[in-house]
Amino acid sequence: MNKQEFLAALRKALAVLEEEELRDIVDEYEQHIDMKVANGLTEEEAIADFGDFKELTAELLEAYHVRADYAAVNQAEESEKAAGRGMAAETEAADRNGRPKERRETRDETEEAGRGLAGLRERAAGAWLSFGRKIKAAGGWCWRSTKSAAGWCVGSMKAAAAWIWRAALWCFRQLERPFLWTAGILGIGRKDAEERKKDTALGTKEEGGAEMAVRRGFWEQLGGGIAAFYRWCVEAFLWCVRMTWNLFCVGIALFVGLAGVFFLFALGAFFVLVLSGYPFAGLVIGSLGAAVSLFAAAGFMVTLFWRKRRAAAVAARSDMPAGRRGALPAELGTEALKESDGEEEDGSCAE
Amino acid sequence: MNAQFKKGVLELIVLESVRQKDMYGYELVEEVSKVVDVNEGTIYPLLKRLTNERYFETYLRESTEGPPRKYYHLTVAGILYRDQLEAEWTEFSERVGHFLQEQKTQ
Repeated sequence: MNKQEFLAALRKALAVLEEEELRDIVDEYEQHIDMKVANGLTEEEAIADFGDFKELTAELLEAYHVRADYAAVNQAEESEKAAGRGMAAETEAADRNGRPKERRETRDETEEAGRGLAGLRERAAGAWLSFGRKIKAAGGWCWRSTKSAAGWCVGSMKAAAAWIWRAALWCFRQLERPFLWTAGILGIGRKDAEERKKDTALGTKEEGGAEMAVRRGFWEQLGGGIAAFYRWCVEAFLWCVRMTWNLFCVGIALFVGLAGVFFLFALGAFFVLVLSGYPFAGLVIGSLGAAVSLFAAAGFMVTLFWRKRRAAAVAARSDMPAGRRGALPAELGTEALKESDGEEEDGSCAE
Repeated sequence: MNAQFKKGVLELIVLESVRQKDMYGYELVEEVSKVVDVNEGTIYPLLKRLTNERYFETYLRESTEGPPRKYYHLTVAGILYRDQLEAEWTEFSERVGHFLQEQKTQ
């Protein structure tokens, strides 16, 4: 028996197995024979080393929990079926030629049993379809429930985030209260600059106006100094908080980003190994997921940076009518306003 | 060697050989042949059975001398099974040896 004959016989004997398994076995035996031939043996000698062919195929089938005599049994069943078909044909021919009553009755019983079987099959098919419909309905219900739950979760999270944001803003505004209170007591801060200038000018024209102006100027300076100091303290505190937060964000983003780069590298390495035939497909998918997740996390941390809005632009925006915004200095005006507008639009942290 | 002895111990030899390093079919047959003189035909069905029982997993590796080779790798379940077989074999051989020794001394 040469190699081709042996492989053909093997394929035939193991025909009960799935095609993929069968190909796998045949390839392995073919490779084994080729190696033996390369080592100086003939095909026949290499095949002879496998021992008895029937024992070999029986052991292979046993490895798959398949009866070794499957082919023989199958052949016997086929013969029986063929014999049965022959008998049925004979019966039909006899019926056409006037069959005996007993045989007719037997045939009727068989037909009834066949109808019963067909009914059973129909019922089974109906039950199966009904089961499919129920599965579909359950799937739809699951999908709708998940969707509504997800919508509720997202809505709740949005509402909570908006509430936290408003509370934080309120807290920051409270920090300015003592300054406004001090300024109110001292009679400064709220008045418009032009109005104050006018008051001062009127005061100078009135009797004793000069003395009044000097006194007010002193209190204004004192109040202004205290207010400036207080504002400086608040700003310094906010600056420290902002710097700490930004450093934290940068640190986390860098760490997470580097981890992402590492997983990207691992992805490449595992992919090459998969191409080389190693069973690392799971690791490739895992690395891809980890890399994407980590880069997304790094990006998220970058969005949490606390950027400072330019005070001048804000002041200009709040004090100036929209039509006069163009009067701002070129280096501060439109750019700063755009920036502050953008920050308000995207809702990021801003002082 | 008695064919029944070989059959009983072949599984352990194959598992131990693959535990040392991943091997392809022909290489494994050569390795096992160093220990016991077996029919090559019995090794491949055994490999198939151990693979189907998840004691081995297989992967293809490129070869410079022909088509890619299918390597067998011992799984964790395979290591546990091998340890169990080794313990059984040790106990069995010790008992038989002890029995034979006793018979000689009587």
